[in-house]
Amino acid sequence: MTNQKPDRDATIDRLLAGRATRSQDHSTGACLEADTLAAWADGTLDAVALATAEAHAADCARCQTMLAAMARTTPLAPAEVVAPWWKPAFRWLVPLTAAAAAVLVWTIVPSRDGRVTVHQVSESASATSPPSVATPSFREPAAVDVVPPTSAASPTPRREPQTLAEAKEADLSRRSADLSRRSAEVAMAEGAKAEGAMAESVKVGSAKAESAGPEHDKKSPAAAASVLADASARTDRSRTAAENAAAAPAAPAQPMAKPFAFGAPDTVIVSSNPASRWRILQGGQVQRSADGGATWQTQTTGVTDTLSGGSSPSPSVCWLVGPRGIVLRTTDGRSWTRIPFPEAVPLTSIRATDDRTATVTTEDGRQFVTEDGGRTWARKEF
Amino acid sequence: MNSSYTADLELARQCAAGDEQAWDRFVLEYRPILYRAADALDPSGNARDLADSLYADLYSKSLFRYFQGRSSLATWLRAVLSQRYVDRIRANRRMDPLPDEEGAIERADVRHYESPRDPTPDPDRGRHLRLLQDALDQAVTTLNPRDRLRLGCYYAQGLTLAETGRILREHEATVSRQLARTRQAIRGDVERRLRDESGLSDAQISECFAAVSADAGPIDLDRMLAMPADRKETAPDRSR
Repeated sequence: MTNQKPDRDATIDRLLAGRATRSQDHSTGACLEADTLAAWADGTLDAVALATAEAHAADCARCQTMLAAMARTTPLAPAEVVAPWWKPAFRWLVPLTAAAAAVLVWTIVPSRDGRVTVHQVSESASATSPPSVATPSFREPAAVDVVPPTSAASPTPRREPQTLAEAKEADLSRRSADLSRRSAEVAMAEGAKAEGAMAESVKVGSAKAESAGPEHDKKSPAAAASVLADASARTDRSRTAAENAAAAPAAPAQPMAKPFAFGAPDTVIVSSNPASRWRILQGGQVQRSADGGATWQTQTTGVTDTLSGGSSPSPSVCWLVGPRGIVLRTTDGRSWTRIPFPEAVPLTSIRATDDRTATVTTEDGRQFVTEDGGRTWARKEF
Repeated sequence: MNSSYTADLELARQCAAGDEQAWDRFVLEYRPILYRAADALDPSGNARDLADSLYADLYSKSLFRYFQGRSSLATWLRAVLSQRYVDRIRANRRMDPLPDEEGAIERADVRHYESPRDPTPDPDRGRHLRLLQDALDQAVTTLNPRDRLRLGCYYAQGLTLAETGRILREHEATVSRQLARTRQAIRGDVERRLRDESGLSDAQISECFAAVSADAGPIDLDRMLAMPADRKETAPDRSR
């Protein structure tokens, strides 16, 4: 009998699959409103409302189909995946371990001038405070960051008329053309603004972006920024070979970023030479000090999101991370380059060993490694 | 209203009030989301007219007033679009002619008894199948709503484990484990019902399961359960 159980479970599986072809409308009560469905998807239903909605949807074919449709339209953001039970604990473990290591290194290993200052240790400790447990965001990433194949700037090609749309066809076409025209105007204006902002900090990349010509003008600001960042990243890689040779050895332990503590203006990233350091300001700005923090110069990074952390493996090289997959790098200590990252998810910390090798930690605890300056990223398995 | 979505609610309010600047921002940020969702619903592009229709309604019919800020505006738009898409499919299916049920039953019976892999038909086989299906229906009915919803998402809607988990706020590994647990529970319940309520012996229960396992083709339970004796008190919705 025991051996029959797996076989019978398989039979049940098969029967359930066949049973699914039948209708299941045994529900009572009204179907879920779009408002409720959306709140369910965003996780904002309270326990009672969720239980009620689940009880209805369990027996309602229409609502199940709508839930399925919603699930299929949900952007595939890994942050939406509910983390296994051990992930939150592990997320605490990483900064704690890093903090312990940093304190140990700073305590035992003398600095280059032979002094160990209290300031260094306390700064390290403050930068490695445990993260607040952030609830995974089910919100869609900012729409301007992701430009679908059909740009808002171009009119949508009309498909074959459908049953419900036929009555509205004439009116819809007129409105659609109007809306498209206005979209194009907004996109062009914003794109020009983004290009101007990026040109400040990404001098090399702007030449390539401008060569994109009229086609570039049609893109949204995010696309414009992406082109600029991509162009500058490629150019930047080609000119950093000489600097690589001159770069100092990697720091043994970099202060870890405050995991997603946005708005914290005191996140300081100290390089292997404590005289060189960066600190994160709000709105994507950073400041650099070349004299151990006595004076600071403000730098623009080309992004407007407040960054969450960074790592400086040498005096002129620094990596920064932020929300929506933002990875920035400077190799000359002055200008910043946006490094393409495969996912538009919040990044909480980065640990770099030179200008090509870095490990990024996402808000949901995953780690991605690059060994070619951000050209490719590989998921790091624990 | 969730305070996290205050900005979205404000944008919706401004759009509803005819604020051109707000509408421009909405166009820029949310139109791509709508089209992306439409393409996800129907990759052939046939859902785009629904997105256009929704877009026009937002512009002309103040649909924004139904957005209460309980979710993000993007999610609400996807929900409205999904609702319209599902309703259109269901409406189209209602237009399909109903199948010839009696003929279907006859064909199903013939198919079972003339299966080339079953040259010596078991006269009890039809009854065993029927008993098994009845027990299965009852076992599923007694599951808690969350388990039924999980089964529905996975089996009826054909969602992946990850998609099912997204709905139920479970990790896909958890969904997989829960599905396995539910199948075991159903199997135990079916065996108990066959034994206690139908009076079958262990050998006969084995024959019931064997009858399903031995079938070469897919079990068309839809046809089997369409037989008059099996019809439940709840009338099935033929629209699906």
